[in-house]
Amino acid sequence: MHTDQKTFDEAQALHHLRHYLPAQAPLKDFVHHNTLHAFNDFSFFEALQKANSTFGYKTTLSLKEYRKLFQEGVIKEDVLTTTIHNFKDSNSLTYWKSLVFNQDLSNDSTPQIGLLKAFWKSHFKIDLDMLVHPKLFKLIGAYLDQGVSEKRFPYPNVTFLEAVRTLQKNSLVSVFQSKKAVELLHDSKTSITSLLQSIVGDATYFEQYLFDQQFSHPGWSGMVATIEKQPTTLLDQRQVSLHDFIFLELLLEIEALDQSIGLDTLPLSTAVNLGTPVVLFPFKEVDRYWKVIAIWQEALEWSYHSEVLQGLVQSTAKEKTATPSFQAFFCIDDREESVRRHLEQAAPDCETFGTPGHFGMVAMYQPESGKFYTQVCPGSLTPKHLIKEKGRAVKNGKDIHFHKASHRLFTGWLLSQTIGFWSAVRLFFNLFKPQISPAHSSAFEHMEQAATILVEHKNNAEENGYQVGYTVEEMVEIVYGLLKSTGLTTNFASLVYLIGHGGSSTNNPYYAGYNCGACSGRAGSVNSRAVSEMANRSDVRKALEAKHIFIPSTTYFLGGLHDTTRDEVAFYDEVTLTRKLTEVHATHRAQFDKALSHNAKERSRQFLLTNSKRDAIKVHKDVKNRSTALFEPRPELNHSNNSLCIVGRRSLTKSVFLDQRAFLNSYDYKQDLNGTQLKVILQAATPVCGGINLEYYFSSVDNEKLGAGSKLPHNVIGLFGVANGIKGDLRPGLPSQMIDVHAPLRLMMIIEHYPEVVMRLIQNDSGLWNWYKNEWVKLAILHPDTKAIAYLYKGELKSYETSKHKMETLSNLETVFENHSANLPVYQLNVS
Amino acid sequence: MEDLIALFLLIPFLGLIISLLFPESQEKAISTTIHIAMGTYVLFTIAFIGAWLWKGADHINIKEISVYRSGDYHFFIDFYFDKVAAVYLLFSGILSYLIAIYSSVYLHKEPGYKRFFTTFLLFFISIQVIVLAGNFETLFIGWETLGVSSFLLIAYYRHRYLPVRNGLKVFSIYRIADVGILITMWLSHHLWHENITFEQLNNSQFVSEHLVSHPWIGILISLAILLAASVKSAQFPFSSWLPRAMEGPTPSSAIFYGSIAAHIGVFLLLRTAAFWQQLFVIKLIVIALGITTAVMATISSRVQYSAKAQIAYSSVAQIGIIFVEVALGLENIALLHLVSNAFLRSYQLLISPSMVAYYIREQFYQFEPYKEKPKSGWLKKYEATLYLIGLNEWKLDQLLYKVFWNPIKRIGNPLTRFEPKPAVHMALALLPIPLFFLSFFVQLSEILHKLIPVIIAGIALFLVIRTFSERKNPLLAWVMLCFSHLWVLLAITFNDRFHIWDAVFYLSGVIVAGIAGFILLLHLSKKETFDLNNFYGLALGQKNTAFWYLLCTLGLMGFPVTTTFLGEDLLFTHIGENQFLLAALISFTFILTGISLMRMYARIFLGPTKCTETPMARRSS
Repeated sequence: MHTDQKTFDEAQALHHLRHYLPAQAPLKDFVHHNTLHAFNDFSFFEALQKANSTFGYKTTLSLKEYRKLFQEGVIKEDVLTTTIHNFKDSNSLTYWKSLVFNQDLSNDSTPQIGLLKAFWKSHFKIDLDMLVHPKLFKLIGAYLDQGVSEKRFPYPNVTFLEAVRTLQKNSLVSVFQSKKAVELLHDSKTSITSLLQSIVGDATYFEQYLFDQQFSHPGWSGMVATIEKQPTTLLDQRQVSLHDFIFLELLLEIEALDQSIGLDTLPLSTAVNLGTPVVLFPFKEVDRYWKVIAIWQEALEWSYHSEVLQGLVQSTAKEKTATPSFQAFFCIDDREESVRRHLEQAAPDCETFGTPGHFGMVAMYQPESGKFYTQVCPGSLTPKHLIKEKGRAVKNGKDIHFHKASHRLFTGWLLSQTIGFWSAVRLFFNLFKPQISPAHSSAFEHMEQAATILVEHKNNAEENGYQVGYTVEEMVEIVYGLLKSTGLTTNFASLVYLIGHGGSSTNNPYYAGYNCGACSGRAGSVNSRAVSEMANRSDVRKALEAKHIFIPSTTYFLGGLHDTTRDEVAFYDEVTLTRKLTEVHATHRAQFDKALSHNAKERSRQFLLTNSKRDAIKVHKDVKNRSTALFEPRPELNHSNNSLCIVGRRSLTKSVFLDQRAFLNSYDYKQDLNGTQLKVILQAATPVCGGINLEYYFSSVDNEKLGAGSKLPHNVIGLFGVANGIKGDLRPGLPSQMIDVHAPLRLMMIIEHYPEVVMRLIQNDSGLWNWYKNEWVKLAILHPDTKAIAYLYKGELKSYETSKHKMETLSNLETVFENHSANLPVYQLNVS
Repeated sequence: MEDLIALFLLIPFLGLIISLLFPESQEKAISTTIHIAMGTYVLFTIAFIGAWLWKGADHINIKEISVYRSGDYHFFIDFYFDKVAAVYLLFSGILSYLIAIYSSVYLHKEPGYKRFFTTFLLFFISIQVIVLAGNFETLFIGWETLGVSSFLLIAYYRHRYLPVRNGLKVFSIYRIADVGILITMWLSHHLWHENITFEQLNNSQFVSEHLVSHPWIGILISLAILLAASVKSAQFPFSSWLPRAMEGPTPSSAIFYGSIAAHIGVFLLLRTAAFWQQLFVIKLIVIALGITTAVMATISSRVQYSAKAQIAYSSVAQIGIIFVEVALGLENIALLHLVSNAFLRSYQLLISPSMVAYYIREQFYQFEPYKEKPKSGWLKKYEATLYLIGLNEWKLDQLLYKVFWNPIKRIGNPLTRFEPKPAVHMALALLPIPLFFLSFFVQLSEILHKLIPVIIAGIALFLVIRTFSERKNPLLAWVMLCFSHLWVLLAITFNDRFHIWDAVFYLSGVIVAGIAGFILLLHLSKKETFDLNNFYGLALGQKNTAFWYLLCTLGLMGFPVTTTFLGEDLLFTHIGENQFLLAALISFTFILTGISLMRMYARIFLGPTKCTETPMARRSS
């Protein structure tokens, strides 16, 4: 491994570090990703063990927790027995059963990280971290600050290290309390390697030392590395690098050592016998403990997934043949699963589709008078186009409580003598009658309803390297992709809705995480509106005819936005509807409203403080209030419990109750027999849904090290992160309030197609194959003709027998929602 | 009217007792109890103040309970109600009510929901006691309770390292304020020859008569009061604890550290203003202190990059100005300012998570890129210096550490060589007994009479300091802390004629708490391994032991749960007004005993555990 080499390669070591550090971007660009992405070359369970033994992360539920789930019936006995069968070695079933159920197995490996730095405490009796961290966090925090403080760091336009140097030069008080440290700071010959030589000594230990050091505060290191990689993620940009950060930390260590034990005792390797260097990422035998854990985790997942597969096989819904009353596209997002279900119930003649919420438009967006562009497509894509907003009418609200004057001496004196009483009144009203305030972050502010957007490319307009608007050919491409991939190529209704989504919350630093993942943590309004406009153009439709898609002239596309927190929907450009369509639209609107209230009621079953046993409209009102209440840490439950992604026709899922746990991507294999569209879908859906799912998984199993802990004590740091208290490490990952009802199951991707087509397709794409082969996302394929199910196990397809037992069929879910707050099983629904 | 005053305490107390009856899982029942208690409290306060205003708004003094009388020493609980009290009760009541409602939803499903509200009410009650206190003795009861409940609130996330560490830090600094009150009480006995009430302090003729005869004692008392007030209100040089107290759930930080607790120092100043305002030099000092703090805290505030630290320093700066207002005799303006400031900072803290969305939006639409302006070399130097000083928070945190902790460590470290064998234990425990009797029979020479108490008190102090460097054996540390009480008592016995009942009073609490704590520790050490070198977080698995041990700790530190509390006050009356060294030694012993006990509690029961089943945060987070 890397640590074995005698010579130390600085660049290599930094590269290696970056790979393992948390990759979470600043809060405003909160996007979900696989927390343990660094380990994705290993199979899922190997990775869990590796990450545990190196970093000490708790990567699974504990045995106690699994056994409790079994007692509660969440893990099913027959599934567990089958799983043990599949996993056991030559030892008997009874032997493995006793291991699984009774024996007190424990994972006794101690993490490799931290062993080297522990010598400071054990040998020199100093707490080096406590001497260094506060100062380090202070300098980097102040330098990166985006506008909490009134006075920013004096030299924002130079690199971090240069800024510290200049501060040291200009200030009459010294940054460092050690002459040696100042000397080294200004010496051009100083490098990370030379500093390590003075502190650690023996080069064999350098990389291990850096890992120990950086993983004692992975939050800050990860933030630095992420900003270094994508500097535009900060609006007020800073030139920061992991190199500068480590350089400074080593200098601070020199300072601390100089002041405590003196520099004469250094380096560490001559003062102390450090033993043989530790292999940071050792090869680990899969022992009994990890095998038992794998059995439990698999059994937990299959307990639910087997029900889902059974439900899909037994699905009774038929494909639509008559022209529906309207068609509505929603985002693939799991939160839209229930909305679609309720909409189909409120408007039985309609047809719904799911597709990634950027609707195939890869663009940047600039609201009017906005000083920046913001990306409105998945983060992995690189936009070349720009969509601009015009005619924004409403100014952003102001709140005196955020005004910096309240922190100054004299204006603060005036304000603190006066507005305090107003604050008390505001607090009073927010407690008893929450209302939208400037502190609120609304899904609808992304783009204003009354404003317009410029979709068409005219006069070769270009801005900062982006083409403004789309040419007709490009529009055709987007609309064709959308319709073809979802299978809507005939039978167009007179109204086709494209509904994006976003979230609204108050007092919530994670607001971006509530928005559409396919739009890089923004609302999907721009995309739904722009793509609708494209689809309505006659020149686009004409070009589509050449591609065998005939959209009747009576069909109209209308964009909209679903606020998933408040369960409200807004439509764009309603004024462009003809009179006749306006009437029809009014009918649909009422159906949407009904569906949304029922959706709010369904969601409320997990909001324990809300009384669900009331009329849907009343419950809906309570649910809306959650988004404006200052004191509500769970305005909505986001992707909690997500564990499925189903790519196939709606008839497959329409009669199956999926409890908001499934990403649904509409796809008609009949129109794509060789899998061209499927490939595009999987390339987008696998990393996006897999990323969401795994971030939820890891934040749930170890909320303290891989998640952000409770958000209640969080303190906003520089507008880009949160920490506990004022001098702590940044806390990446999800807070406990976002995952506390999540069941940590991996995602199962279920595809309706011929197994050989799917396999050929994913095996030919090494990125995709990695996800599935290593089982970070599980794969099941449903044969469209025989309904036989095959699933991928260790890179090979195996056939799976679903239970022939008939599932429970429900016609009214409302009583279920009123009486159960825990996760629900799969039901068959009575649908037309 | 007088009879109703006790209700200010009884209502929240009843709420506390009833809420304790419900198990943790019954969130709804707990929060409803708190809502009703706090709601009733607010209604009662409004009605009471209304009636009081109607009746002419005269101040009310009630000598409630006489606790102990011995010679001219009379310990009594006394209540006092006037405009200042009315304002504090009203605003703290309303704010606490609002925050209680806020928290009951905000903390939904949080582990420790019940613990939060128990501590919340304890804190609130302690504020009521302070505000309604009619004499220093009563005030001190609230004052100490405030310290402990603060520690518990800051260390609410008790299995994370930083909250526990900062909780201890704040508790230690609070103990300095306790010294202030102890010394005030001690000197007051000598100045007035009785346990003075605040009502009497308002009698300016009475006060000035005494001051004329003892001007220095007057100044010393005022300085002690000022010390206590500046610690609690985070004035110079104690400002750095306030931002570090922001470790609990945001609403608790908002109400306590943003407002009520941070403004309690102002209350102490207002309460005693009639006294110290007669001393011109003290007025000057208060003004200077206020201005210094206001300027320094503003410089710190404007460079803070974290929301809560920024608000904390802004609040401290305004409290500095309020200090000035109080010194200038602008009582009404000060009251207005403090109530408004308290509401404002609380609200700012509550909405601080919104900062991200609000400022990012503002930045998105209004951003101006940085342009370097030409500046003279001196201006550059000035700006850089001020920036760094502010970012370093004037290094006050390190300063306090250096001034208060390093000496203790320096004395304590050589003492680690002192590791007594059981025989020495016995000797240390038993030695005071013959000495007690000796003290009754032996007539000492003048010099010895002065020297011996100081030496003995010194031994007590050494024992306590020794416990700070004890890293291995918690039982040994516990025993040493128990013995130090005996030695303190012995010192006093040699100093002055001492009534046997006084000793019984003092020791009864120590003995009960000491023995019970010892048994708990002994029992625990058979089940778990722990020492004082690390944090063990045993409260995770041993909730009940943790609770009972905490009670023993409080008992042993002279917290008002046992009679020892009263005994401590009593001891001081036996120290002459010119025996500063003895008074200093003994008050340091008390203060350090408290800190050492809390440190032990924290190391054994709080902090991260080694348990791999429960996720534990990193030390740095």
